[in-house]
Amino acid sequence: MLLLQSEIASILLNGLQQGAIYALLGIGLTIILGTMEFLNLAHGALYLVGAYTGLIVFQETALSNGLLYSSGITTLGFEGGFLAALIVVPIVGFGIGLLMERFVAEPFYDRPETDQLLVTFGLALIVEETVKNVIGGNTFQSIAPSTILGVNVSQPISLPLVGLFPSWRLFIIAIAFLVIGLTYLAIERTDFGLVVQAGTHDSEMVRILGIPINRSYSLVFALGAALAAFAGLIGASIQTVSPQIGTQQALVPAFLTIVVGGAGSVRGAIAGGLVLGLIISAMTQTYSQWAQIVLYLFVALMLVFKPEGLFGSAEVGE
Amino acid sequence: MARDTTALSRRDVLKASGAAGAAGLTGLAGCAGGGGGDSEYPAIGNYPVEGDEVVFGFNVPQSGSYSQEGADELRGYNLAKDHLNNGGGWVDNWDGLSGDGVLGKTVASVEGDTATDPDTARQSAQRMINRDNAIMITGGSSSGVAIAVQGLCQEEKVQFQCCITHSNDTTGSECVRYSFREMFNAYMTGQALAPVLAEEYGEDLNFYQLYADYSWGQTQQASMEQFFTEVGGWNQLESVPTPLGTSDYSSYLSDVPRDETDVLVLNHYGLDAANSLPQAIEAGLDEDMEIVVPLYNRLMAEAASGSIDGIFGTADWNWQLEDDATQSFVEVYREEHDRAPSYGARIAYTQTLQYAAAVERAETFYPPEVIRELEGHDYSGAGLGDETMRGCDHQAQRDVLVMQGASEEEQTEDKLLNIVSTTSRDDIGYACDAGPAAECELGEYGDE
Amino acid sequence: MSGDRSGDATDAIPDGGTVTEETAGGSGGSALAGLRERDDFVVVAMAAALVVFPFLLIDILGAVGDVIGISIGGYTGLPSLVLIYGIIVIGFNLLLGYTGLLSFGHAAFFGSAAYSAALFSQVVPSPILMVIVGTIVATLLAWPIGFVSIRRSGVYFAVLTLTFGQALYFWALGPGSWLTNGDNGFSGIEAHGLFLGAIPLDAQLIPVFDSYTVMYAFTAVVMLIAVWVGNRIINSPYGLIFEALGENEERVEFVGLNVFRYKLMAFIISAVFAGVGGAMFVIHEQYIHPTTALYWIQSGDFVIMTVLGGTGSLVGPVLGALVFEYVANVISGVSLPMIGSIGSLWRFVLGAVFVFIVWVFPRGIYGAFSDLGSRLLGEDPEEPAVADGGERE
Repeated sequence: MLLLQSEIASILLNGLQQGAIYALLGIGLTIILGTMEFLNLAHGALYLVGAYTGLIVFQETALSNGLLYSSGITTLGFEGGFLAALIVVPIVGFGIGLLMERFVAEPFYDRPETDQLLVTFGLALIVEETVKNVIGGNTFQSIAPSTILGVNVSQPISLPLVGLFPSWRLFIIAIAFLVIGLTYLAIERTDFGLVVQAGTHDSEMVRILGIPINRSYSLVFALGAALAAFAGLIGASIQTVSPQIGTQQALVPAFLTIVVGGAGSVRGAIAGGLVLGLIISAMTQTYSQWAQIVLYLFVALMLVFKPEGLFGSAEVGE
Repeated sequence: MARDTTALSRRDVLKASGAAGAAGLTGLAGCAGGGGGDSEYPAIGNYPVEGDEVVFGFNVPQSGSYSQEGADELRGYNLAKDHLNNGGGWVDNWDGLSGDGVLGKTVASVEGDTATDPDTARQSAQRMINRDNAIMITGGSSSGVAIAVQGLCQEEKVQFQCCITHSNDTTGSECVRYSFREMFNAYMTGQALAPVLAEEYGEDLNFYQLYADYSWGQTQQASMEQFFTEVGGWNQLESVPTPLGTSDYSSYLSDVPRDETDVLVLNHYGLDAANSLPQAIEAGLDEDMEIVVPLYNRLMAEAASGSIDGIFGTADWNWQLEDDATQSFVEVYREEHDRAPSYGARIAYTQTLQYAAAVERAETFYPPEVIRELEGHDYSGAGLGDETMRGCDHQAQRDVLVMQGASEEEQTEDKLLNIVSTTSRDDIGYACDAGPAAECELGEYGDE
Repeated sequence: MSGDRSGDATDAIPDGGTVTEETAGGSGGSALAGLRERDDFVVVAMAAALVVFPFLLIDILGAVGDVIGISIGGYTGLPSLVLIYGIIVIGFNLLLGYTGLLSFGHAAFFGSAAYSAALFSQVVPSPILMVIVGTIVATLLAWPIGFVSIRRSGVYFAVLTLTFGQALYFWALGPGSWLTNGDNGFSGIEAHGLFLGAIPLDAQLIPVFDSYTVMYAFTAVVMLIAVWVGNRIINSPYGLIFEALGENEERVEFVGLNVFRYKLMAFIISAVFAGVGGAMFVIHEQYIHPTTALYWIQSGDFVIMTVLGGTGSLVGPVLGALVFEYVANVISGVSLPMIGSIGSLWRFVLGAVFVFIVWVFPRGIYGAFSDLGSRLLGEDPEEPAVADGGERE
């Protein structure tokens, strides 16, 4: 199939948008894995929490089943709008990350990685089922606003080459890359970032140098959680929200992203997310039945022939 | 196949020995036991029913993406159980139902979780059949599950009453003797929708399809192609498969040629449609073309409520229908649950009563006789006027509703869709040697 | 394989002293402990357990359920299903528990065997041949996947194995549905019975005891073979090397053994068990669907069962399979007085059980029991076994 220029352009845009979500998930997972050598299967649950927090902050939603509904609460939410959600969701994610590091991760730092996987997998089940039983198993519609900062984002806009493209998605791509960029700068340019970087290379060395690594641990974990929650908010603004999204849409892509990019590398997670996003969007637009198959085989080939990933050091995560 | 004819199944042996044992014991007391002359038939499946209870198995999704739909089916089932035992609802109006159990036996139920996964559903049905001695299994909210469970039920010689399943295959290539479907199918959706759309949008249009790449989606898109082409003289530009469970359709939607396409058909069900429809509207496709979602359900209408305004589709049934049966069902359901039932609840309720009524007519739980009672049975009073459960493929011949999404101002908690028209069963359907039925071979009753 | 083994036995002898000592189990003292030291004790104990298992699961629990008014009894297909998963996780544990390799892709072997057996049954519906064919296919698939995967470790190994399983899953569901019947599932599988169809698999084994079917006996025999083979492997030089690999790979390499080769062998052996299980699953269910056969959640279930049961012992994981399948298939249908139907809550229960076990009994259910047993017998609790005892360096 010969690709038209406009098709290439729309593949790029769709790929960027999907890749941005993967990258956000991947950065969060990779800094936690790199710094603490902690494998977090509850990363999808953080995405889920972000999506539901976004839903609750964004608008008042009618409930139709679940514990809240049966105890007489029929609507839930604040009508806060999307900008409020943009601020609140990462803060909630950050807070949950702090708690999780303290009460779930810390007791397991010295346990084998299978124990870490299992306890966080169990935790993910509990979070998912709690959301389902409290708020209800409904599927809620996505939470895109019609205007933001006075600009109408509900109508598609005409772009050169691409043609019509949903303007909301352009906004999403912009804001996601802004956050990705800021995170990158924070890790590359600040003292905190130095600790993270050093930690991903050699956490024992950092400890020996007398840097209070435990406090940094909490902060790194919380930052990772905040990014996952933020990814959930972005996802919720373009896709429906239901209790299964954490496991079905976030968990596996997050892991694929970090191994393609190289575990422990922030730059790698960004590149990995974008590469995977582009593969998915290019394949679905051409040979859709083979999209997922090609995606997984690509990751397999990467791992076989370039095991250190695009930017990683091969030691982390082994 | 081999074992149906040659080997006596384990449970046959068990039942026979159990029945013999029971007869031996109660024989001392001078009574052969069993209700209503049941003992005249040989043991098969979970027949004969012993004791004064009869067990129905309600096998619905309780975890996973369709748990909400499963919960509403379960409400319909429990209402049916309650009415069968204590009277009320349609039980008071249907012939043969007494409100005092079925054949004098109290109806009990067991529940299972299908998780919308065929193997899990079979496992759960197996438990109901083997441990709980369920005489009838019903449920499901996907065609994959319905096909998997009805296959098991045919092997086990236990009746299956389909709930939500819309694929042509359920009563087509994968049909079985022991299963009956009250719901309509993709083929009938095509027949009902095509004339309405040709009327509404005109003739000689170009349409473009996206379809979920599994049993239901494939039959749905084939039926849409057939009837849009035949009825309206429309021309299909392309039909693109999308993997089941896709959540972001933007890449597929980017590919839709805006200039040439007049109608975009989104053959997605439930959660898939809840994503694809809003995303199509977000991309502004509704400005260049008409969008059609062939099959509506509440789950999808709720989750895409902001995007369904004016969108055509079909539905099994709707609480806004004005006939007496509908109104009485909606009333009893509302009393219990404070809102209107979805069509899943109606099918669940109907299918349970339908089975019970067939047992009463047959005067036995003996499955082959119950099946013969259901085959070719004409009935009404299930909310859709006159219906026939056809003998050749076990597909109900019934009216189909064409629906249109309500605008956001019009919408209430219960009212998300408006009824556009009811397509009479005389204008849809197909002969026993045509359409999906041509591929159907029902298999054996088990008493041959 | 057996030819190989004798060759390696001699290779391994010089190294034997460094890794064997603790494995023989607790110190003697009581007669029971003496019996436990016998190599084949585990096989005998398993045989005894298999004889009473369906009776306990179906009849006893069923009777208890009748008394307390809550349906907690098993059903006729459940014992076989537990054993089938048990066979798989015994093999999975050889990989995870002994060599410490965590695979998230064993559904690929389970599923490919299941589909091969299903397809083969359309030609020759013999259960034994179905198992053989399924296992061969799983083994042939495991060799190349293992060959490229075990060069990686940790999360890279887990994800690499996952990718192969997922690629197969999406193939079976989409482009491969001409072969697999896609989402409609592969049905119409007829295994015509043992001994050229003379004994149908769902026939009753013993009169009156309806919990015992020929299928169960067949599964139980395969399970015993699996335990016996597993036991032979872990007590052979191979097993000791596997264990040493989990403990310290470099040390094994240092003494001159080919680490790659032993890891590959462990991987293939575990895939053989998964293949046997996959083919047995198809014979038992007479149906297979891509989600059950190949989706990563299935691989995840193997991990859960294994760790739940306890990775430190041969048969521990079987307990995990029992608990998992019991919760998923029986507890999920329980209706409690007051609370009502558990239905939608069972996954919550599973998650909670899971976190509790991992947190409190890091050695799994089996570990918890054996600690308790040792304490009652006045022995010191056994040292935590290698791969789950927190000895990462």
